[in-house]
Amino acid sequence: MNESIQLPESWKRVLFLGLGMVSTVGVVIALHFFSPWLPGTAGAVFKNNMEQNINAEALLYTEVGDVKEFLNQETGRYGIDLSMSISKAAKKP
Amino acid sequence: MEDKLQSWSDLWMKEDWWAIWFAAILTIAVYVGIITHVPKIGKWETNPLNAIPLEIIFPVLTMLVGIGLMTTVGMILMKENWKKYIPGFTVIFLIGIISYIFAHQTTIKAWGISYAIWALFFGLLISNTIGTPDWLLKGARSEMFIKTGLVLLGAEILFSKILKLGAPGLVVAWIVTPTVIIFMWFFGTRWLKITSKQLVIIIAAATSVCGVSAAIATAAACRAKKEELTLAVGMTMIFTVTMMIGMPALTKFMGISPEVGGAWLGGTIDSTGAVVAAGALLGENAEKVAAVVKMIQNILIGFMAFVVAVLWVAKVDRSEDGPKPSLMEIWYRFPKFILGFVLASLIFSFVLMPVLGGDEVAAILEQTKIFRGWFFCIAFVSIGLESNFKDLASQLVGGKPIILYIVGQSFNIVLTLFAAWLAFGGILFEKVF
Repeated sequence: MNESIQLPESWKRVLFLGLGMVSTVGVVIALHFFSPWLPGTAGAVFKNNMEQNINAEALLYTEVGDVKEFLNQETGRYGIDLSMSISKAAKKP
Repeated sequence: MEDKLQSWSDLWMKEDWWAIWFAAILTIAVYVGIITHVPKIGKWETNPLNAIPLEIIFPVLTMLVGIGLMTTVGMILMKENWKKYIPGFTVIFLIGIISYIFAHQTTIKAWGISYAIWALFFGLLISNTIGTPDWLLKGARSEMFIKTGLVLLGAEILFSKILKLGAPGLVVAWIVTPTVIIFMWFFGTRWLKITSKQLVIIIAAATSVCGVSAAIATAAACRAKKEELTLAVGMTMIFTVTMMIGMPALTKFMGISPEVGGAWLGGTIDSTGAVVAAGALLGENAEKVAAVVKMIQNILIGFMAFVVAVLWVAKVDRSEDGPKPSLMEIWYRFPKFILGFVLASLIFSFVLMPVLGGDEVAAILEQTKIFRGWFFCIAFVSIGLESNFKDLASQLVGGKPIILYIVGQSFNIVLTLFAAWLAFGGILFEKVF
């Protein structure tokens, strides 16, 4: 006789949701502990992002840092002047 | 006919207009000082409670109530079922908070796994396990949230600032980007024969402009399906992290100078944060050039959304043998929130920047960008709740979207390297550093 335990469908669904949440937390914990040990460029990128506090998740330039830094040419972090005209093109020897 | 096409009541009956009003209300409230500080979830390392310290719980709840009330007024005037909207909205906002908490864990943040992905993930997890209950779906006004977020985003696209950044960056960002979009469009529709033109243009925009934000704007402009946006955002995130790791290594391996390398990274890696992260690995100069090229690309979001909206209304959505639509019809069908997006950008760039100055505009944007993030976050929670894996799988159509992304991105990588060499390698212009 096969008397395997049958969970109601609604219970199964809640169980899957719970498993999904637990797995997600597990992945975050694993990433947190293993990332510093990663070799190669992946490890280097991660360490550099952590050390320099780079917001790698930024969707737009305004999320990379303080907006003021971008709007002030004097102190602008990325406010470098690249405004050269084509007439100033490098003269080849 | 034309009377039927538009009415003054559209101004308070249509979601597109409400997106503009919501964004305007929030921006004005920040400008006049009614809203002085928009709360954001903090960073944490091992204890998630550090993300929501006691002092921000009340502001976050106040924001939940404030945005809830504001959008409920809109729902009432649009004659929607506002009573059923409120409980759904509240829970969606709470899921949004959880998404932000996950995104702000230090390791997750360093890997660039943004709140948008977490919001989508939690929405999808619920809809594909216990199923999204009807009462929760009533609060999932994904389009209304996305459009409001996009109008707020428009304010952050500052033409005046970008134009100062110069010709070399423009060569890389503005010549390559449209070329890649056109290439991907023809490759996707003619060669791969992907039937959904919306999917093709969203992937093309995400690949060539700036990832998730361009995908959101383009999807809204061409009224794409939620599953199409979900697929494009998911693919973009996976490839962005891959390229953030792989491109600096490739640049070093090929012995490319930091300036050319920076421009190459800025023109190819999709999201801004990943561009800065990859550039930083090549040094300060590379980081600066990479960020500037990406900033110049960011501005194309507005152009892209506007052109796509017009093309879709005037050409793509029209049947081949149908009559040419009149200007009035184009106006009627044109997604009005795009106007809000473009107007916000123009007002901030050419009115507020000269009148108020950079510091005050920056102070306003510091707050509105947080609102924009919250609207995108709850939009993605809503999209996740409305989607299921079956529908998502149906969008994959034999892996064609992935082929489109890979071929388009490869083309982008080669073309951008050539343009970066011309512009930053001392060929067309003097070297920057």
